[in-house]
Amino acid sequence: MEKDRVPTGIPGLDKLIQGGFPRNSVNLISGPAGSGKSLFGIQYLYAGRIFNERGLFFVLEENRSNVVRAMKNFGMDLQAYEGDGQLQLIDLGEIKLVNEEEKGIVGFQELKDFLQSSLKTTRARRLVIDSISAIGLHYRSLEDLREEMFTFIRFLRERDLTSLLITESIEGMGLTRYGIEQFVADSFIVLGLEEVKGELRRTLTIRKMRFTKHDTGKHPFLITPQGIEVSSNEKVV
Amino acid sequence: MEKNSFMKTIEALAGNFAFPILRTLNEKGWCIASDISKEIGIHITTASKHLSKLYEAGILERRLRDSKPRKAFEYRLLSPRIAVELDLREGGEEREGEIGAFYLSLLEGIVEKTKKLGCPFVEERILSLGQELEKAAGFSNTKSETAFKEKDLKTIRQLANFFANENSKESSSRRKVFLQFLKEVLAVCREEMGEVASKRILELSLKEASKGREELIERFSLAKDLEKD
Repeated sequence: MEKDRVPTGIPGLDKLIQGGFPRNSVNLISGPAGSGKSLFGIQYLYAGRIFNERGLFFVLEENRSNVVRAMKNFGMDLQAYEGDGQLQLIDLGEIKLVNEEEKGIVGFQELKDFLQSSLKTTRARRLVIDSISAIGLHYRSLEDLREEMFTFIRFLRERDLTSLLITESIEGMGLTRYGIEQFVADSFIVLGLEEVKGELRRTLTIRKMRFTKHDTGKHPFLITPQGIEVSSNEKVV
Repeated sequence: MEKNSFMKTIEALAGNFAFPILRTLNEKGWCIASDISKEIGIHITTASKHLSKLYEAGILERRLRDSKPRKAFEYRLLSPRIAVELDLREGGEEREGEIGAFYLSLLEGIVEKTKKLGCPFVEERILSLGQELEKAAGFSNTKSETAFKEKDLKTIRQLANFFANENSKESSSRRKVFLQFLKEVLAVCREEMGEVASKRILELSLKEASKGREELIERFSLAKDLEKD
């Protein structure tokens, strides 16, 4: 492993990005519902085992048990991984107060407050937040969201931590939920779902990655029983 | 503080020796009766009698020292701050059990929520705090210590139940220890999960534990007691 790269562990992807995410960077992944974003995030953390890098996963839209159950289908035993102290799955839905459905559970400030404490104990080097679309609901205006997100991302960069933020895209409404996330992150990967002759085709495109000579093609990928596998040699025309 | 405990505390603090004993313990930490006897120039039996009274009043904690020629209790201050309170409103003594049950329900709520949130370190640290509580309760040589080693949260609950249901003369000082324990649990939550998450966990657990106990909580200011020092 190159010192300044953090391998994602996703078959076919690291080859396209010089071996992995730039160390201590903040990366963004977006895609429509069902495109494999959460699976991507968990696979990234799960790969941390190989490199002895602990992982921290914030669940905001699902609950812990659903994530654990879903990942079992891909041969990933998250509970065992948690038991070893290598992974921590934080379900922030558990601290949802009444009448908070509308405005989102937490904002970036609250998340920062949590991380400042928990990073000391977990000593995590890999972080995934699923998703920042849910955090965005906490803000009244796009300006507030942008400002808070910018401050939060700067906080993450200052840590010995390589982060992955997940955001959703709504079909026909742009690449990200709020249209601003990609401008503040160091990298931006887009997962796509396209209908070809009545069947869905999954694609992955690296739109941006700082400090990296990366591939810019649209690559097909499959969700196999082991998880995401990117066809690095194939491109979608 | 209930009437009996209040009387016991006042009695233990009265006389010429209580203050020099407390000052010595504050300066030196763990002491046996002969240390106190030498330090303030009183007979060892007098020192032993006073230490025992202060312990029974819930001001000191004690443990067995395996010294020669025979085993002896050694004592230290539970806290360098000593407060004596008496609530003269009726019904306080009879409601110690209810108050304990409220604290127990609150503790269970906090532990449960922390587990569901996914912070295993909090649970581990609560377990080790439980050992401290056990020592404070004065039965660290009983079976429950073995159970703690097996990392069984049930033991904390059993212990908490002991505090909640015991209606003995010392129940009020036990309640104080349990409250202190809860405050320590909350401090652990703050350290592990930050101010916001721990505040919310307390808020949500408090809400659940308060159901049907609103009058009790209001009357004895139980929620206020949990505020940070």
